[in-house]
This record gives sequence, C-alpha cells and structure tokens, in this order.
Amino acid sequence: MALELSHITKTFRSGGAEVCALQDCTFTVNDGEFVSLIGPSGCGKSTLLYIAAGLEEATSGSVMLDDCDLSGPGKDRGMVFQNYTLYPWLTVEQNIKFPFRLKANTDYARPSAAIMSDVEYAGHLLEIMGLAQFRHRYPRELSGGMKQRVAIARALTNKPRILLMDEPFGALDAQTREELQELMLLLGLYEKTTTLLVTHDIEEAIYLADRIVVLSARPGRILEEIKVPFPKDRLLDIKLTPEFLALKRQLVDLLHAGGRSSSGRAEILERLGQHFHATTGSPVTTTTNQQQP
Amino acid sequence: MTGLLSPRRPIPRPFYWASAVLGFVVLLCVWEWAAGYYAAQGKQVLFPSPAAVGQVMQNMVRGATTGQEPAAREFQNFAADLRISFFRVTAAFALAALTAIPLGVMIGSYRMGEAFIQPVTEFIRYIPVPALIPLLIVIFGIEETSKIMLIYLGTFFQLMLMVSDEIRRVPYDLVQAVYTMGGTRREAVTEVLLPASWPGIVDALRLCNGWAWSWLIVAELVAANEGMGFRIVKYQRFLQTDKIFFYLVALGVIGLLLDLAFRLFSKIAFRWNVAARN
Ligand SMILES: Nc1ncnc2c1ncn2[C@@H]1O[C@H](COP(=O)(O)OP(=O)(O)OP(=O)(O)O)[C@@H](O)[C@H]1O
Ligand SMILES: [Mg+2]
Repeated sequence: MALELSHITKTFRSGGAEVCALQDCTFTVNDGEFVSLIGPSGCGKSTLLYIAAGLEEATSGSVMLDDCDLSGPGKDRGMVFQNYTLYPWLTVEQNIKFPFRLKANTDYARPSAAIMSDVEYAGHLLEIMGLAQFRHRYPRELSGGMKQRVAIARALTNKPRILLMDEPFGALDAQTREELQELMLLLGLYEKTTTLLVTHDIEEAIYLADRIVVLSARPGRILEEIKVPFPKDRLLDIKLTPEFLALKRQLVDLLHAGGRSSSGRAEILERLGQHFHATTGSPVTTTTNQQQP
Repeated sequence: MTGLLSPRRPIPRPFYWASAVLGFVVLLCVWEWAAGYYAAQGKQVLFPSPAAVGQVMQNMVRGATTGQEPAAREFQNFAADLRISFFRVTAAFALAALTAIPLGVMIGSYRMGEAFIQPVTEFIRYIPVPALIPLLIVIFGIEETSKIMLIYLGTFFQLMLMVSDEIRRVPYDLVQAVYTMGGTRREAVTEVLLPASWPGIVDALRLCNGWAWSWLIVAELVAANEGMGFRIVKYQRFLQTDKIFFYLVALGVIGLLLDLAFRLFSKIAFRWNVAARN
C-alpha cells in the first residue's frame, strides 16, 4: 500500500467558531494505482490532499506512506497545484531541474552516478512532456496547458512515490484538458506512477482512475469507493460506452444525494419567472426535475 | 480599446517621445514666463531666465576646457561638490542596502522577526529624521559621519519595510511547492522568497536612492564645507540665483540618470519578470 489515510478529521477555527471540514476519512491508494477524489464544492477535497502532502496538519488521524508514519511534506509526495506554481524567474528547463538545487537532492549519501541518472531523467521528462522546444522559455511565455506540463514534470523529477494533484486541469480549455488527461493516462501506463487526483470533473475522474473515492458535502466524509471497470490501457472512446455513462450517472446521483439539491433550479426559476414576466409580459414554461423520468 | 487616450494601452513610440519633449518644453515656458514676470519688475536677480542659467552652463564648460580663471575655479568647485556628494550618498545608500535587505527579508519571512522588529520600526520611522540632526552632530561631529548617518537613517527604515513587503507579496503556494520537492524552511527563503522578490527589491532600491539624495541636501544645507547642498546655500548668500538654478538642474539630471540606470539594470537582470507596464 503506497498511501494510507486513516481516520482523518480536520476542524478549522475561523472567528471563534469551529468548522468541521473533514470527518473520519479513511482510504488508501495502492502501488501503481490511480485514484480520483471527487465531491461537492467546499467538501474538503483540497484539505484532504494537502493533509496527504503534509502541507496541512490533520486535527486527528494519521497519514502513512509505505507503512511509515508521516508528518510534514517531503519529496516522496510530489504535488501539482491548480494554479501552476511555476517559478517565474526560472526557464522551463530550470523549473524542471529545480529539485536539484535543493539540499535534499545533493546531500544524499549516494554515488554521483545515481544523481547523474536522475538529472538525465529530468532531461527525458522534458521530452516526454513535449516541452523540449520550449526549454528556454520563461513561464509567462507559456500557455496554461504548457505550464501545467512543466509543473507535472517538475513534480516527477524527484521520482515521488505518489503524485498528488489538486484540480490540475480545472483552469484549462476542454481540448487542452483532454490532451493532458491522455498524457496522464499514458504516463501511468509507462512510468507506473501512483496518483491521487482531486477533480470536480466527473468524466475526468472516471476516465483516468482505477478507483474513485466520493466525499460527501460538509463535513467531508467518505461516501463511497467505486472501482472503475475499465482496463488501465483505455481510449477516449470509452467515454461513449454505456458502462461509462452508467457510472457517470451513478456518480452524479451520489454527488447530488451527498449535498447539492436540485432546489437550486426551482429557486432560479421563481426569480426568473417573477422578473422576466415584469419586463416582457410573457410567462415561460420549463421542465422541473420532478417532471423528468 | 485602442487610440491615444485608451486607459493603460500602449501608444506608438513617436507619440510617446513627442509627449515627453512637450513636457520639458512646457516646463521651460513656465520658467521663461516666471522669469519675465520678475524681470519686468526689475528683480531678475531673484528669478533667472533659462538663458541666464544656460550662460552659467556655458561658463562651466569653458572653465572645464580652457582653464580661464574665474570659470575654471567655478568648475573645480562643481566637480568637487559632485564628488563629495556622490560619496556621501553612495556610502550611506550602500550601508542602508546592506543592512535593510537582510533585515527586510527576515521580517517578511518570519513572523517572529516581524513581531520583533516591525512595531519598533514603525515607531522610529515616525520620528522626523531632520529632528535628529542636532543629536547626530553632537554624537558624530560635523565631519562626514553625521551626514552619512542622516542619509542612512532617512532611507534604512523605509527600505527595510519595503523589502519585507516584497517578500510578503510572494504567493504562498510557491513556498508550498518547494516543500513538496523536499526543500527545507531555509531553502524556502533562499530559493523561493528571495529570488521571487529581487525585482521588487531593486525597485525599492531605486526609490530609496532618490530619497537618499534628498536627505543629502538636507544634511549639507545644515553643516558642510563642500557638496551640492553647501554650494547652494553659499550662492544664496551672494544672491547668485542663476548658479543655484544650475545646481538644481544638475541634481535633476543626476536623479534622472540614476533612475534610468536602475531601470535598465532591472530590465536586463529580470528578463523573466512580466513587464510592469502593459
Ligand atoms: N484555512 C481555513 N480556515 C477556515 N476554513 C477553511 C480553511 N480552509 C478551508 N476551509 C473550509 O473547509 C472546507 C473545505 O475546503 P476545501 O478547500 O478543502 O474544499 P474543496 O472541496 O477543495 O472545495 P473546492 O471544490 O471549492 O476546491 C470549506 O468549507 C472551507 O471553507
Ligand atoms: Mg479545492
């Protein structure tokens, strides 16, 4: 078992009041596995991921990696943030090789040949990610998709035991997002990376994952763990198969049951009805959820 | 939006330069007009015309090239003033940078440092520096030290607080990123916060250098035997306002050149930085 989160509870203290963000969350990510973590907005997905990364401290519970208790962040868990977090003063290549500037990668009691092979690996990452011709560019000269490729490569430079990703493609356009999903899928196939991905995109969660962990609305609890019944080597076409759509439906229902209610629509309809009627004088009829099969 | 008057949009270069020249032309016109106003009352000695100041400038050039007597002496004075004033500013400014940057980084990075230094600094900062002049003269005498100390005190606290603000402006997730790559807390400062802040720090240095020249003149007006400020007071005594104007123009040119030098350095050294404009 690569990553093991046990009984994670997190309460925030804001303005005197205690806010319970996570309650007794237990799940594992196995070696070589790709796990997607989904849940309604504000349910504590990011908090859980930051706790796994050691950037946030759990109120109670433990985080273990390869059966060792963890406290604090470390290079064994690489992280990809939603807003890139590239170092703007470094070029693409320097960003990817940034970990070699750190003591953690030079102080080691290991032969320099091992370090050299790591540096070489970083060079390969540049090629794998399709960044070779941009190696001398600065982050501000890159598109969002390119920046996120650099961030992923940089997180992989350390050869982490697990890659933690917090809505990494959330800010990208649909086409770029699909490209990067494809890249992550194949990377998992070739590099046998272990990944925990937080996303709000259900299709992305299914397409990439071997298993999906669903969190409930606040306070975040584990609602369900669902195995994805597709082989690791899958094509984009599966998004159109009945199994995929059924799974998607199941997850949508879970998310709605776990939080978002469909009363939002009724409320909006009421406001629209009142005010449009006042301006145009013509009433509008629409379906409501109750009328749908 | 395009066009010459669209907020924050760039305009063609020729228009930019024409506007810049126009600014100087307007300044000269106002000056000329004011001088004419005084001249009409027969008081041209109080407010010299641009032409009169141009005369002083020509005189200086003649003094520098031919060595004819009154002119040569005047030029030598000017060169000596320039040299000593430059020395005072540079010494004080270098001292301020060397002390304020490390302390500012400390305050900006560590809350402990902030709590330890910042409240005290905010207090000291509001003591008007000129109020310290008598004390400085008593403690350090009327030699160079008291002047350098005055400039130093005038810039040090401002610079330190500006540097700490630059450090605090760095998005925290850049720091979190270094931790997930195995970076230590110390490396978070040296490998992330500091490199991210350098452009801002250099900009703070540029502003403080300008203030340093202001404090220089304050110091030299009070007690000095040479220097730009001293010479201005001396010319005031002999009512040689045309020469005062010449010194003012010189100070303006020095400021402008130093400012340009800082900007040029920033542009070359921090090519990665998003251009502050457009
Ligand atoms: N530092 C904090 N102080 C107080 N409350 C916090 C803090 N950080 C997060 N929270 C609260 O904890 C809850 C979980 O936040 P978190 O960011 O983990 O949610 P999320 O599932 O990632 O949401 P999103 O889908 O919007 O990214 C939210 O309700 C948030 O308001
Ligand atoms: Mg989040």
